[in-house]
Amino acid sequence: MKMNMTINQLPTLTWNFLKLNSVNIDEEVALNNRGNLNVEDIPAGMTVERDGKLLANVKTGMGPALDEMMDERNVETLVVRSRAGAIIEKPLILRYSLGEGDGTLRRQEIIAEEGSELTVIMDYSAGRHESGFFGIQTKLYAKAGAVIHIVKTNLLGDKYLHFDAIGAEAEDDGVIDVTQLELGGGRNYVGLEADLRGRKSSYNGNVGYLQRKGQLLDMNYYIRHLGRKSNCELNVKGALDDDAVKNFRGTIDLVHGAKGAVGHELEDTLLLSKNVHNNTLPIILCDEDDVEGTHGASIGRLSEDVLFYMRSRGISEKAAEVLMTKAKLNSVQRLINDEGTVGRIQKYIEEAFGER
Amino acid sequence: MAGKRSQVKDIDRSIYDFRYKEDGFYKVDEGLTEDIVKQISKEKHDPEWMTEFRLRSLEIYNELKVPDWGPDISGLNMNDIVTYVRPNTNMKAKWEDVPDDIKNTFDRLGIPEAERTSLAGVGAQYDSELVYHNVKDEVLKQGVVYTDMESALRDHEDLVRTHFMKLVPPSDHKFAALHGAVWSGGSFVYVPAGVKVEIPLQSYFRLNAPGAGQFEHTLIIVEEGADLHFIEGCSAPKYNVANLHAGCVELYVGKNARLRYSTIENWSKNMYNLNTKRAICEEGASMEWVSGSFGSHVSYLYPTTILKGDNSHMQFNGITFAGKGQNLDTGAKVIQIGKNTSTVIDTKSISKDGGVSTYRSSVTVNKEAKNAKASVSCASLMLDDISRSDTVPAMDIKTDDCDIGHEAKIGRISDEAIFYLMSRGISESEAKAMIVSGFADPVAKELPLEYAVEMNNLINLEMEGAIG
Amino acid sequence: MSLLDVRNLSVSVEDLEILHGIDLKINKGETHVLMGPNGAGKSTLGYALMGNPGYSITGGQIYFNGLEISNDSADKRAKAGMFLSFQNPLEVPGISLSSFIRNAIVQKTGESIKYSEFKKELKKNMELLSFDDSYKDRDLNVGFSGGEKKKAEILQMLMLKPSLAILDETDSGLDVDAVRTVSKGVEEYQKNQDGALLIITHSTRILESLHVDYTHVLVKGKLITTGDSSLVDEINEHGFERFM
Repeated sequence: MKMNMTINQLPTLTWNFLKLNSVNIDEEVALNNRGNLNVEDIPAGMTVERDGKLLANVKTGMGPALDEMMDERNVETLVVRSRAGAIIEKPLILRYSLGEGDGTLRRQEIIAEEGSELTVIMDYSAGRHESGFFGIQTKLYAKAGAVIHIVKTNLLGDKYLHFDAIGAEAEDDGVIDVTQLELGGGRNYVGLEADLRGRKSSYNGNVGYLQRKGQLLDMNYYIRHLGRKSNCELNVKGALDDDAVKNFRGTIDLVHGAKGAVGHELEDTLLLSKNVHNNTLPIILCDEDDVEGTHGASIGRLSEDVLFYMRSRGISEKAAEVLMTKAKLNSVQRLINDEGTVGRIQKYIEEAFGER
Repeated sequence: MAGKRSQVKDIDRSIYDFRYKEDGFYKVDEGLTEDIVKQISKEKHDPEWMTEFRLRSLEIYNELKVPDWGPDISGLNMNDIVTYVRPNTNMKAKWEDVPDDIKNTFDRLGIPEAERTSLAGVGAQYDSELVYHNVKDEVLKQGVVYTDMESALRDHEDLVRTHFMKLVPPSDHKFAALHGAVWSGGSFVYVPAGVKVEIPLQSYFRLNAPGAGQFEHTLIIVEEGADLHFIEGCSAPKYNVANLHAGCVELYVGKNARLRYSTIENWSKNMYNLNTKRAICEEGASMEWVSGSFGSHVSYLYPTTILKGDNSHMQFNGITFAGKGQNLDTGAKVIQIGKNTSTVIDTKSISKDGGVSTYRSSVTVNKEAKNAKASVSCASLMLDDISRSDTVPAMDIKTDDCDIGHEAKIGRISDEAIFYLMSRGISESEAKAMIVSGFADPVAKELPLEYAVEMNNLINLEMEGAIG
Repeated sequence: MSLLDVRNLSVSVEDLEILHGIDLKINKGETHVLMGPNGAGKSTLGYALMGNPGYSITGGQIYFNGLEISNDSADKRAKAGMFLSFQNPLEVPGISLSSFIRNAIVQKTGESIKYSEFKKELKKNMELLSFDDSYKDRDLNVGFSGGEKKKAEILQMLMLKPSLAILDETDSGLDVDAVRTVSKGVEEYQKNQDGALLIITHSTRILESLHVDYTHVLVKGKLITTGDSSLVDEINEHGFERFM
């Protein structure tokens, strides 16, 4: 299939020389839908149906081009739903296993009915050095007072092209909680939009990443505060090694009328090699006065102070780099309420550093 | 989404009416032609290379597009750009036609009568030569060249030729190309090695030639170990019937030299201010920008610093105040190339009465840079819920050998702070004005006292009536 | 052969010389106290001994176990058996106190240790320091109070078993109970690990329950005088005035 489309476009444009306004994808991918989805036992209070498509109006951060492509190809949509009022502790695990040469498009919708709470872990895996294409779209809808936790782990092969389009909406007091670990994949494009429509609705985002030789992580986050007292916390942390490239676009949009809204974003990037390339563009759009918006970014290698402390305990520079990278990933992976998934992540990280 | 308020409906039409009341514009139907540029060049007695430079710039101008990002400039008549370039120079407006808000501001700022008419473009040229004659004499003794661009082109042709639009090439963007084609007026300063200029120099030439405030070129060369503080503009609103400003500032800071470049810009609120400023720092050089943006209808202004030399440093302190009918897109750019370079950017912006302010910046650390440090901090204050404030900072980092920190904050004046001040007997409007002054203080502190006072007056003026 | 032998050491910070020609010998198992008024350069000596790159040696040498270490990085010095407790230790979100210590032990010794043994020893030392067990699973120093940070430093000292520990103002900012607890840890190190100590302090509270062999007074970057433990009492009574 020939792909020619613009994705991950910024909600507001800036200088073209930065090359961050959008990404143009122009390439041929082989689609064979060989990727295998394994749905482990479905927790009580949840239903999983194939081929619904209820959230057509929810926009993702990757842009409409991917929706169009999926519509054209009639990509099936998996719908996960919680029963109203059900507080479901046990996570639903959607395990996508891909192999060499697989080319797969998928979409899924997760709907939390009023007052319910659910967790879905989406584990995207392939062999360590395998190549292929995996494009997935996930739409989330939290009804009044509902809480959606989703966990995404990218353990794809390091020659994979990966699209992850996420769109979310929350009604009054609805919570969208997204934990993401971006470890595998070759070229990874992640686009997330969350529309906080409801009063006191909130978005909680935690991203941890480690990008190494030949890897690209291109992120576009767009959090729109529409509801009064809506709240956003977006934390992105990780490390770049070898010749890895990372682009982070994070936009907090405090829309007119969102009185009392608070949006925070924080980025913390550890650079481990002189050949890395880091682009950070944290945007705040503010059209309301009774709001608070902040962002912070810290980019660089280990500071002299950190290094001296580590060394004074006998830890060498190389070991300190590994330790601090793990610390960043740990603080994200500990949010995951599933031992099996955490174990797989840890194994992946250990192997990655084993190769270093 | 950004820029949706950039089309401001309720701008005082009288400003435009004023322009169209006058007939006798140098009216040309098609766009800017070679003949017009040649004519400008001839009138200015350019050397041949400058004529060629202008014509080349014109070609580039015709090829480039207007920016597809940033505030809306569709109010500029790009098809008839010539009306901005060649207003009838014999035009004399009447003092009665000058909008009341401008006259009022002159009053409030205590601008002398003679200068008012000049600033409003309706009186005789304000004879700034007299005022600054002594200053010029004094620095001349130190070997400093301090003159207007036309004289510099005549008397220091080699220096101008080797530096003119080398930092900001006409290909940079459409308005840089326009500038290259039609530039006129401006200041030239050359500070020889080791010379420390004690008094701040000012760009007074802006007042001397009609239309010179529109496409003026500022070229400053500070040689090794020298030190200069240059001040551009003043707090008085500069009124100009042709409402496009596409100036260009090029600053060359030599080894271990220091240049401080301060600006308080208060163009009348019909102005499209598309100005380009750029500095390059050699080894150990230090570039300090102090920038206050208060005027204009639309501004695109991002002073850029190239930290080429090892151990070079740049500091940027800026404040932007966007009021009614204003869309001010301001910030800074830096490119860190040398070893041990450092950047400190600290900006404040204030939005009020439907004004839109955008902080836009980029920090680029090149691959060959070693031990680069950058600290960026921007704070925005929203004074009401009909205004807008956006923050768009980019960091493009191509090496690990760096330490980059960034923080930004947008919000309003806290109710607690106002309550605290009111509990001490201060009225609400005074309390707000005090807090805004305090917010602007880090920038005011960087200015010479008389300018800081003027800036404060300007803030108080902008604050008045609208809130409380 | 002395454990630590500092010869005519001068140290600069950003081109400003802070220490001027320090001579100091510390033998195995000895406890030395370094006192002096604020700004005398006490912490500078601690940092220079441990090899903080911000502190450059402009003259003289440092020998440890007979080998010159003046140009060694801090991790080499730590592996050789030196330890410095920091006034403001590092906070690391994402790494627990116990896993940090285990990491450091593995790095220092180059060998892995049995988890059960490690756990047992950690528990013992935490009990000694009246350090609540839950802290071992908390992120290193994150949200720790001043006292808890000091305890975490002493805990690391006990676990890493250096042959020379430099304690930089370990008693500052602590209440009486906390000082007593920290002293207990230091005592344990003195007795059971036969460790040498250089205690940097400007007060004397931490010294009350400890055996002290030598006391040095540092004023304006120079060691003015050296005596036994009675010098501590004298300073306690009369301050530093007679040395200034």
